[in-house]
Amino acid sequence: MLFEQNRKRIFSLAYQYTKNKEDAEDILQETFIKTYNYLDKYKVENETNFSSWIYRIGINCSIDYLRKKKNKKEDFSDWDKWEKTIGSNHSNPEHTIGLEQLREKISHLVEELSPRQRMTFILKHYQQFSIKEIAEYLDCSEGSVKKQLFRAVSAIRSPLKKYLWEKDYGMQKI
Amino acid sequence: MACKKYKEKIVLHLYGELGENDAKDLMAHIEGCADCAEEFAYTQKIFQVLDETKTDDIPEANWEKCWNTIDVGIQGKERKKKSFLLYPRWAYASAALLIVFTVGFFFGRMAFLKPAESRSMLLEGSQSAMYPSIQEHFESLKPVLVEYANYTASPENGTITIDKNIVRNLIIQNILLKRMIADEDPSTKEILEDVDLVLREIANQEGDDAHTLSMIKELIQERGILYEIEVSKTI
Repeated sequence: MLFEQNRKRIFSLAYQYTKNKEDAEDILQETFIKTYNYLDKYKVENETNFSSWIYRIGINCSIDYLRKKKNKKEDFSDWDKWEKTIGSNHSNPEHTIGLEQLREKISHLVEELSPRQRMTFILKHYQQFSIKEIAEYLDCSEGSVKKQLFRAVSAIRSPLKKYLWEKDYGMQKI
Repeated sequence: MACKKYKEKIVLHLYGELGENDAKDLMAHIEGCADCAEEFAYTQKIFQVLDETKTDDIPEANWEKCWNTIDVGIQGKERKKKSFLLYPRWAYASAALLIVFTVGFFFGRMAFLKPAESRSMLLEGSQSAMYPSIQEHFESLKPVLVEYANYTASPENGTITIDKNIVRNLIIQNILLKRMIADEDPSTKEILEDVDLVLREIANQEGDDAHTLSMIKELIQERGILYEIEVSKTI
C-alpha cells in the first residue's frame, strides 16, 4: 500500500538521518501533520507525484528538526568524549577494529556534517538516489548537490582514512 | 587546480555519476598523476568501508504513539472546522492517514498511467478522477451490505458479526470520499451519505440484537443502496 510505503520510507530516512528512534518518530509525525495541512495546496498545485511530494516534506522536516536541535544544544561536539571511549582500545595489541566500532565512527563523522550535507550524503549513499533526484528533493541545482556531496565525502574521508590507518584496517596495502 | 577538479570527479565517478567522456578523462589523468592515483585508491577504499558498514537495521517505530501525536496535531487545526466535531478522536488521526492514502492512491495511479491517459484524467477534472477510488470503496462495501440485506430473523440464522475495525475504516473512507467529492457529484454524494447512515448503525450494533439487524436491512433496502452502487458503475 502506498501509505504504508511512505510511512516506512520516511521513518527509515529520518532514522538514518538522526540515528535516533525518538527523533525519527518526531520527524514522521511532523511530516504527516504538515502533509495533512498542505493537502489542499498539493491538490491545487500538483505537478509532482504524491510519494515524491510527501518524501520532500519528510526531507525538509528532517533538516529543520536537526537545525532546531543543533541550535538548542550548547555543546554538540562530544567528539573528544567519543574519541576517549572508542579510542581507548589501544590496549588491544593487534589494533584491530570491529565492524560495530567502525560503524560508530562513521556514524559520528556523519553527525558532524552540516544538516544539508548530511542529508545529501544520506540520500546519495544510503538511499541511493541520483544527483538529479536529490536536486529535485532539495530544490537546488545539480551542481550544488555535487558540491555538497564532495564536501561531505571529504569531511568523512580524511578522519576516517587516518583512523583506519591507525587501526591497521588494510590501508597500508594501498 | 586541475587536480582539485579531478578529486571532485573521483567522488562522482565512484557514485557512477560521471559521464563516459568525463570518466575516460579522469582515468587518463589518474594514469599520469601519482597524487590523484593515490587519492582515487584511498577514496575507493573508504567507499568500500562505508559499504561494508552499511546496515538495514532500522528499528520499528512506535506507530501508536505517532498516531496519537498526529491526532493531537490535526485536532488543533480541525477544531476551527465545526463540521468535524461530530466525529470521535480516532477518526481525526485515521482520517488524516486515509486522506494521505487516498490522494496517494489516486496520484500514484496517475503516475503509472501513460502520459496521454494521465492528461485526460486531469482534464476531465476531479469528479472522474475520483471514480476509481469510489468504485473501489463501493466494492469493499458490497460484501458487508449484502450480508445485512440478506439477513432473515430466525433462530437458525443467528447474528452477523463483522470486525468493528473494518467498519470504522469503511466509515472513515466514506467520510473522506464525501469530503473530496464535495458538491461536484451530488448523486454519488447522496449514496455516500446513505452508506454513512448504514455503517454507523453497524458500528453501533451490540451483540445479536435482531431488531437492529432488521433495521439495518430495511435501511439498505429502503434507500436502494446496493442498486445505486450497481447503477453508479454504469455511469
